[in-house]
Amino acid sequence: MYCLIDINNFFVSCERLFRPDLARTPVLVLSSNDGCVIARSSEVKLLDIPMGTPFFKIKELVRTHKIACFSSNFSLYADLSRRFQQCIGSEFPMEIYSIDEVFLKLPTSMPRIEDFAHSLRQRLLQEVGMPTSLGFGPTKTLAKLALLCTKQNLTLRNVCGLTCPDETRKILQKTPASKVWGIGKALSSKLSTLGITSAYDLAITSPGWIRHHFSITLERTARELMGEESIPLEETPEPRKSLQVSRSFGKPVRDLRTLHSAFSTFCENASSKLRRADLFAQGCCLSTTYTLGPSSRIPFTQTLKFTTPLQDPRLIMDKISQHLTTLFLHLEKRSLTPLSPPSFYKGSLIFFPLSPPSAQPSLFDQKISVDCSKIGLFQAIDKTHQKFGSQCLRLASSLGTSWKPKSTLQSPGYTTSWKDLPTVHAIP
Amino acid sequence: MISALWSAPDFAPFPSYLPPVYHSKVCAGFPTLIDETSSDPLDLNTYLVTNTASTFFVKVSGHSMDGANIHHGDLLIVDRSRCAKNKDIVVAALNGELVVKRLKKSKTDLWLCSENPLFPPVLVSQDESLMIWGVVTGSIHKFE
Repeated sequence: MYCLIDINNFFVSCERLFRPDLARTPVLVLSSNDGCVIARSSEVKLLDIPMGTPFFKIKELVRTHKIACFSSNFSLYADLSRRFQQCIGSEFPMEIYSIDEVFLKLPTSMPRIEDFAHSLRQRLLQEVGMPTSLGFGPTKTLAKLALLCTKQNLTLRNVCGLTCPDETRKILQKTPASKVWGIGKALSSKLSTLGITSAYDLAITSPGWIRHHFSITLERTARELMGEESIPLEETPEPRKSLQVSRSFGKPVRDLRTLHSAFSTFCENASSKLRRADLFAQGCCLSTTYTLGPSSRIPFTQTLKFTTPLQDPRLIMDKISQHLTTLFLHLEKRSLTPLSPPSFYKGSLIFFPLSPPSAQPSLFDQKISVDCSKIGLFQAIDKTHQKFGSQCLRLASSLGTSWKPKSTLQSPGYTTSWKDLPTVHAIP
Repeated sequence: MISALWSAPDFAPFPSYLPPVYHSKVCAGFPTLIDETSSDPLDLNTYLVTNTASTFFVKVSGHSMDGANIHHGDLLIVDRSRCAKNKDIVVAALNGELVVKRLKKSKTDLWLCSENPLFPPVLVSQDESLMIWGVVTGSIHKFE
């Protein structure tokens, strides 16, 4: 039996934990640069504000309904996610599916799973302060569907199990295929042209036919809906295949120095992630959007391949800065008037493929070894960051913050920074 | 002892008069047992925190708990996994605000008490919203 545990409105629940005054107030959390809505409390959902709504469009609603708005505070969310996973414990095999979702594999013989689910839910609420919903079923796909039922039917008290075949069939008949785990918009519209509209239609379609006309992945989903385990628990996460660092700039960037500082910061962040995972980047995709005079935003993308797999932020930035400079000078020449230099709005670096340090270098590489000569230096840097915070020792090229995204509504780092600890009042 | 080591074996491919080169120094004196007996430095977390997932740190503001040796500016260790018993010091969310008080339960009533003669105990009435946020398990007072 699989059990899926999901934190309700995760980011909002994190913000509310240290702000009991917001327990019944509508709360929403905004994406980077305070761009759009990425988490909503149930009160905000009732106001019909969909996920992804641009913030500027709902300023009026925010005022009239006194919605509490927060910039995202990812270090807080990551800390509470870690506590949530730790609190679930290691009694049963576990898959960390996302920042706020965990699958458990429970023994088939386990009696009274519903009671177990309720007591786990109660424990998570008390110990970590996170309200959760739990769905369970004989397969991961059915557990996911059970979880969906808890969100749609509030009388279930946040716990739902699809264990009885008759009841499962009724639920499958009522559920549109598009709501099934792993079925996106394009796939569901293709399925509906073939007459497969409900989850039940998919479940009773011949698996062979599905594999022939679609994919083995969809076949597995169909088998899972019938209660046949086909998607196993992934206890150890797959190694990263790529790594992305990107930001929208807080205000348009108009000079090369600032553009360098933004990308150099991306390189630093990426490098520290690569070091933690012990991986090296073999190439990178650099992209940005810019305007030239009154033009609309133009995307720019360039793919770079590194001859030697890289981890050192200085070496990576060296490659990237050449391309940035070329791009900037080229655009400056085209802009004609010095009064309207090119303006950059966002930047992104996606590193791929990633390889472990033992990976064999290509036959024609100049250097046989990867850039591990500076490992001692980076161990020292990582230790310094651990002790004094990641801002204390930086690449000189990263200095300057005028490009940084706006996050004016960010809550304090209640659990991650000594100076931001929550205050409790010792008052009459 | 060393001379015994470098008396060359018969099959030595090199002339036996070459002295061998040792990279390590030879130390005199009693060997220390530090390697076998060393342990990690004491970590205050193991002393102060039992359940890391449910323990949070908070800062105190105000003087109502001075009598319990909880002073303005102190750091409190709060464990949410403990069930609040009578006379426990707790962090409670009272009408939307986090407060630190001593909890007193009688058969019918719930009191939040200060530890300062100037501040009388507060009876929590039915219509007030009270949530016990966590149980205070320790406090740290730093002498600046």
